[in-house]
Amino acid sequence: MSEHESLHGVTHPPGPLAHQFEDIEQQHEAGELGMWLFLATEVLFFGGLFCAYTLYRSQAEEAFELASHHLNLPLGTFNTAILLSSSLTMALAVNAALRSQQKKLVQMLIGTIVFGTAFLVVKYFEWSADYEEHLVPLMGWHFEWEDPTTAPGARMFFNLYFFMTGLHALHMVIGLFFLLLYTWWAHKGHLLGINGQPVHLLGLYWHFVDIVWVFLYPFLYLVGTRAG
Amino acid sequence: MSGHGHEIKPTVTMCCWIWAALMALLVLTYVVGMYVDAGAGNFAIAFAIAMTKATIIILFFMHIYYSSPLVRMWAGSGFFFLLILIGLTLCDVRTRDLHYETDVPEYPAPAEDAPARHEGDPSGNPMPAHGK
Repeated sequence: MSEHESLHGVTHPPGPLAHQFEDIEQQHEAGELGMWLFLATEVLFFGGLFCAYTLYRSQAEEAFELASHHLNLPLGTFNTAILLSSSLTMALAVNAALRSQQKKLVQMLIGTIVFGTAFLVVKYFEWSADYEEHLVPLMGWHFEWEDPTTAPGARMFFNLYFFMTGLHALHMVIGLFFLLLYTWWAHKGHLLGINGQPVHLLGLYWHFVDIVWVFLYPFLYLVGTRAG
Repeated sequence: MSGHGHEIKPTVTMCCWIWAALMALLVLTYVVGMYVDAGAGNFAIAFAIAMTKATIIILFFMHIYYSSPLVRMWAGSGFFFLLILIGLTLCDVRTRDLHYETDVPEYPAPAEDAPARHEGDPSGNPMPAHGK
């Protein structure tokens, strides 16, 4: 078709294929590449914090271990289980979208929202407990640490803890916003079959946020050993 | 287009098995963290389990196992540069003799009634005050 026709859109009835792509496979691969490019920047965004963590931990091993043991490991483990389960419902939502199963798609998206919200609620209770124990060295709040030799290292650990979990929680909130939007669209009958690609792309984002937590869990909760 | 007889990968059954594997790894890492004392080995085990979990999620939940080589390459690029970021930073820092607890310079404790630094204490700001 000529360039002229494309510009005015005469030959293109509204459909899933945008006019700049040869076919739907190319369009889907372009979308996937774009999402992975964004996730690469996210890997380095969180990676900077993991790098800072590694540096300070290598210089304050003992303080990091002591500080880590102030975190609630059973609660952190429970939260990891919640997030891994939300990844399952997200993967099932993608599966349902591509198979045009509208009812199941809506159910699985709602399931992901429920798990995601539960994660944030548990996180809220963990943060409140830290605040009660005077372990939040932010906003000018009083940070209480008995041993003066490990105090600077412990303070650094909790700074990193709140920035890393806070940034992760922010990503969860953004993901939840899109999940709500997609649930509404799915309810309206969109995002099915060949139009299901956005669900797959949101799934990539959601699984990435899950992976960040999979690493935050051992880095924050599992320093040293709690045996004995 | 997804017609009948054409399965979407990963299938529902596969997703459930992947979830079960991830949960099993989580239980393993919790038990090791809670009841095993392997010294420095503890974190090595926890990290290895996290790497395994992440690999499973990337390969199957994130479809990389089914993706084109181009998508795989883009997916790997972020992690490749992360490796450079952390690897080279550690090469620098681990070859220095620096300890966070002991090498912190000793600043004199501020007096109780001293104004906070950000409120314009000239001795607290090394930069000359312009435009004031």
